[in-house]
Amino acid sequence: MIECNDIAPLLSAFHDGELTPQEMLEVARHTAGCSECDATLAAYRTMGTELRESPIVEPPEWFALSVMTRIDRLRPSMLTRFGRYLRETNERIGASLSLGTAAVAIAVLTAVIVTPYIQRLSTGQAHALIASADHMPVSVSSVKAGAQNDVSSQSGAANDAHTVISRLQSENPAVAVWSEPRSDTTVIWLPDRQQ
Amino acid sequence: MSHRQLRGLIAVVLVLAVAGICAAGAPPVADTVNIHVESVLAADTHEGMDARLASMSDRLKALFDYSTYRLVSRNESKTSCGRMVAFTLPGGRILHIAPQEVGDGMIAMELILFQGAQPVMSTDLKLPNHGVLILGGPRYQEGMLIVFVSVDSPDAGRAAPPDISTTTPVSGDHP
Repeated sequence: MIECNDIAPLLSAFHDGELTPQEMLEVARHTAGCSECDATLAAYRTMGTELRESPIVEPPEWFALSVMTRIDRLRPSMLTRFGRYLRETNERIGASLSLGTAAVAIAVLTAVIVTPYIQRLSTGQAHALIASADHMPVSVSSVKAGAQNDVSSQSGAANDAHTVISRLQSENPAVAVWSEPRSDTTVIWLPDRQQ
Repeated sequence: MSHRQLRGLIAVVLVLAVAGICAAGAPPVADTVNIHVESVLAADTHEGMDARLASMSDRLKALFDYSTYRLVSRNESKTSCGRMVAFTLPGGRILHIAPQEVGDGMIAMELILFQGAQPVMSTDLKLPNHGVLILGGPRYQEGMLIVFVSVDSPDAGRAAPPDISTTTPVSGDHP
């Protein structure tokens, strides 16, 4: 025996004709003998009729504007903005050109920034810095200072093909430096102190 | 732009990003530096030039005035900028060489010569590619020790040829 509790959840769907034929038959049989469920079904019919007959209310003009303003205030996601930018670009210069430009730009950025070529660039800058510093071209020089020798203060016009000694430190007071440019040979003579 | 085009572009970006990450993870291109260190005993014992020193015979005669030159040891090593190499020299000496930069036909490096654990000389210098530095003077056996340090790098390029000038020995205890 089907109870009202079983039928009640089906009444709305029965009114809309959305039940299976077997369920439709069972609900119809029950409501025919149950005044309470029949009244509930009648209430669904009345509500449906009233909803269908109620006038359509047009939204005020400011409503759409208000909603769109609130939407605009919401910051779109990065992907949405990127898509919007591409769409606008596409409208201006065409889809293929924008695709190609973006791909080339990303490829160049990847090659230049991420790969070790950037290190080559930084090394080149370091060379330039060093070239501007004072260096000593070792053609002829001798260091016979006291406790500590440091030739970095001596300077002259540097030739790239010559050995350049920018610092030389030794406790030995008899250090001597000279070069033989024809064979690209530089000598640092460091005799034993006991000599 | 259609969704299909947008998806294609995103795929291209992802592929390039992955390629970039892989490239970043790869070891950087380092400047290779070849270092040759040859230790020669120079003495006045009238034994002549060691046949193994034929390639540097003229250079030795031009720079020094000994009657005996004998090769004691020969070492070579390949390194890169920023990586120090240690060479053991005769007489308990140790030579540290750390290439620092390579370019414009020059090789910048730091050299430190140790006598045992005691540093006796430290220098920063730039040698021409294929240039030679000689460290000499320490007493060894019956004469002096002359250490040839030659460096070259395929990444250094070529420097301008040097000016021709005469060698002028300076006062000091060198021969």
